[in-house]
Amino acid sequence: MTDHLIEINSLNKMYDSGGTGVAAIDHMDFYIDDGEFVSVTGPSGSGKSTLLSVMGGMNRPTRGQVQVDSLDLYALTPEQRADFRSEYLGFIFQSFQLIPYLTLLENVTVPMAITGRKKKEKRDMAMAVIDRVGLADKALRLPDQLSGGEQERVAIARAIVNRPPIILADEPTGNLDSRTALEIMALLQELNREGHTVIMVTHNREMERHATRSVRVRDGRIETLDTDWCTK
Amino acid sequence: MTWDPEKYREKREKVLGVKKRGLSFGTLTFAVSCIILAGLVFLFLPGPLSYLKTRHLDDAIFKMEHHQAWPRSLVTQVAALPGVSGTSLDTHDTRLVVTFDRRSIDPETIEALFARHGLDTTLLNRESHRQRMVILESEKELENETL
Repeated sequence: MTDHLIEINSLNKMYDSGGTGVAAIDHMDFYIDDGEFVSVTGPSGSGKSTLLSVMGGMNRPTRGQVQVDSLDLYALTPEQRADFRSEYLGFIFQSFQLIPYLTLLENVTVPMAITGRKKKEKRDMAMAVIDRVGLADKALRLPDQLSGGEQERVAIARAIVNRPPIILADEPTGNLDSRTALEIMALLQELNREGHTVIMVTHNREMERHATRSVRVRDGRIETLDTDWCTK
Repeated sequence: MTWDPEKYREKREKVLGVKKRGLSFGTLTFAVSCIILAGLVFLFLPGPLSYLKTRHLDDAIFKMEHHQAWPRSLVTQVAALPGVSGTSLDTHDTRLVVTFDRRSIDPETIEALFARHGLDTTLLNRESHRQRMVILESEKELENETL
């Protein structure tokens, strides 16, 4: 039984690089509590995106354990892990990853495809989150008819539509100008205050300040910024 | 915030499959199999059932000499005989077809009843009831084709 919402134990992820093993994550141990806003920072290639994908149940570690809400992610079957992602996680990507030929409303409805909800309920839930991110009047537009900031808002709406307790954001402001980036950070902070646990990977130190705690990663290891919270 | 195991219990149970959403594959397969089986039964069972019901039945075809019409009251009496399951007359009332259970009654018993009423009858034919039905059916088809 765990004491924290997310627990990472002895995590190791090796990639094969031309016959030699490269440790993208090298023996990590840390935890994240429910309701935190944690930023994961570090230079390019430090392993932060790998860490996020491992925590998201999308990248099996070479060794170690990831427990979320006491569920050992990689002991679950692939079907259970898919259900886990649907129930617990909302993903926000740097490049938005919106489907270009679907309207904003349809893009936001996509994560509910396997939830078994009725069509009207899905539409109502999608409209509610679109309204929540301030894009209700543009619900029927295609992604390329929106600005970068608006597309990021759609990505956030899509991430929260299933009401996941955890939001994983990989460089959510990487493609945005600084003013729009601040708006997006304010939105993520708001979601955090509403109870979502937010884990954000960023290389931007400005954005790091919006988190309640920060993990610094270098060469696949955690560089402790604050020993009180980031290591066990 | 400290981790509260109760907070996301419902989600956890969904992931672990404690709470099933909708129909499971097994249930769905079972339901579809039942529907297919019911369909097959509906299609193919009436034949065997009908055979079971009629396998002991024979038809005896009687004709009255001198082309007289069969008295209705006598036809009613024949129909009431134990082992007789039906009677029918042809369009001119000259032939009487009696369907009977060969285990309970024979054509001679029926003929004896006719004799008691002073009627001069002839047993034209005796055949399996099922066979006669098949012949009637094919005759009807042939008639329709000719028309």
